[in-house]
Amino acid sequence: MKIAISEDVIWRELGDEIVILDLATNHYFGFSGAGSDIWRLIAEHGASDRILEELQALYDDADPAVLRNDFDKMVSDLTAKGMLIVTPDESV
Amino acid sequence: MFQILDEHREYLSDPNRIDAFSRAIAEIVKPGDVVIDLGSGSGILGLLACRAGARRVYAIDNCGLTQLEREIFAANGFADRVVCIKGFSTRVSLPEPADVVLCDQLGYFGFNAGIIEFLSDARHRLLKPGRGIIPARFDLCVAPLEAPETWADCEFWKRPCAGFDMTPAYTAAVNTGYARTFRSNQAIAAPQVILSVDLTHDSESRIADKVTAAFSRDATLHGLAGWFDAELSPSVRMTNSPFAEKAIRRPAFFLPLDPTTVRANERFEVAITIVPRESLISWTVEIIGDDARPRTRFSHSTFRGMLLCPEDLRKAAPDFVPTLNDWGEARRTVFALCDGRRTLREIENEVLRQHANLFPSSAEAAAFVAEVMVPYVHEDSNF
Repeated sequence: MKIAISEDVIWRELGDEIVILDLATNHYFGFSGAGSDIWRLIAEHGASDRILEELQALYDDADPAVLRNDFDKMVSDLTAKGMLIVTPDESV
Repeated sequence: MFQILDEHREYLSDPNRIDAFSRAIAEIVKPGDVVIDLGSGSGILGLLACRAGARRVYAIDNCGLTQLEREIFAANGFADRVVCIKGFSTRVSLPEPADVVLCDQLGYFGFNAGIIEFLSDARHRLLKPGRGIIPARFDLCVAPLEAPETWADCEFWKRPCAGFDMTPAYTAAVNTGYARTFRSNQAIAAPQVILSVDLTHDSESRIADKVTAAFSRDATLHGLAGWFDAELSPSVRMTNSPFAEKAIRRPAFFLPLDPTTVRANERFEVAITIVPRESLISWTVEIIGDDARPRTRFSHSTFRGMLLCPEDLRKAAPDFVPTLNDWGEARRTVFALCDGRRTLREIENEVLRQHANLFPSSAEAAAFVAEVMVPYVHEDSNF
């Protein structure tokens, strides 16, 4: 699936953290650790398969199922908040 | 106080600003009108409204000039027509709806001094539907610049100071807007209108657009100049454009870009996004190569220039559960004691008794109580 950051969201790095301003709600969010890595990968790649590959490479000793679960939960939470827009891959 | 007064001396001694507002107010304000001046300062726009025949002027400002403003209206024989209100216009209620609202809260780049929010609130709450707003709209304009002296203010942070590395500040420095004046020959392309804001209607929370144009000469690009061009009335405009013959004295806004060599007739695209509520601006510039594809791209935002601290952001997270520290508890005490029965002296004494660890003396407790209480207590009616 494709994952895009909403146009209502602007973000920046602050040290090792990611700081996000959601203009739709005027809320600031911060991600650190794996959350900040997932956010960077979403911004850079925007496709779940590629993001998971890169994430596994970053955390090569982590259980792939746990990583997948963490990734899915974060994407699901942020999509529900309107900060990410998820679209399924086009079928061939 | 001296700084405020001197700032207003600057405003009053700008002949193009005074002339523009004089003509616009004479055109819009009719005899018998009720007029509001948002951010009234020394009262000059209210005076012009009185001269145009306003029956009543509500002059609202939270700066320290309110009493002086009353004296200026009185000195000109308008004391009985003007109500000066010290406070934020967004928290003020008036006894009658207005025919015209005036506001000169135009920042260096138009939007960034609160005019959109102030006028939106006034239009909804304080103005008769569809009546006069000065200014009614403004354009935001940009031009690419060759400005090595201004760019040097950004690059300053790349140089050591007393042998110490200051480079961590550089990212913030190139993601910040600067109030600067420019000569028209510093432009390396014709000025472009990039955004228009209609103050007679609600704006989106985020306003964005882009323009494409060509450089007029070979040069080094250092950034963009941004400015406003406001329509005060159907026949009067007011601008701080570095290129206008009758510009007001307000500086333009410099948005830095990494220095880049550009060639005459080479094309570029500028995209601007503003978020008025956050005073936030993002700017992106692409230089288009001979193959019609971007050869260089710069992207900046004042969001990246904000001097943020992680500890403050953690307190702003929606899932943060706040608890009051000692100073917060002291504030809560002040509010609880303002019960409509206790005198100020009694409140000060009680705050000092309950929070003795915070205040070395009764004078410091009194200053704290005043700071906490003054913005939130009822006072005698202005009307």
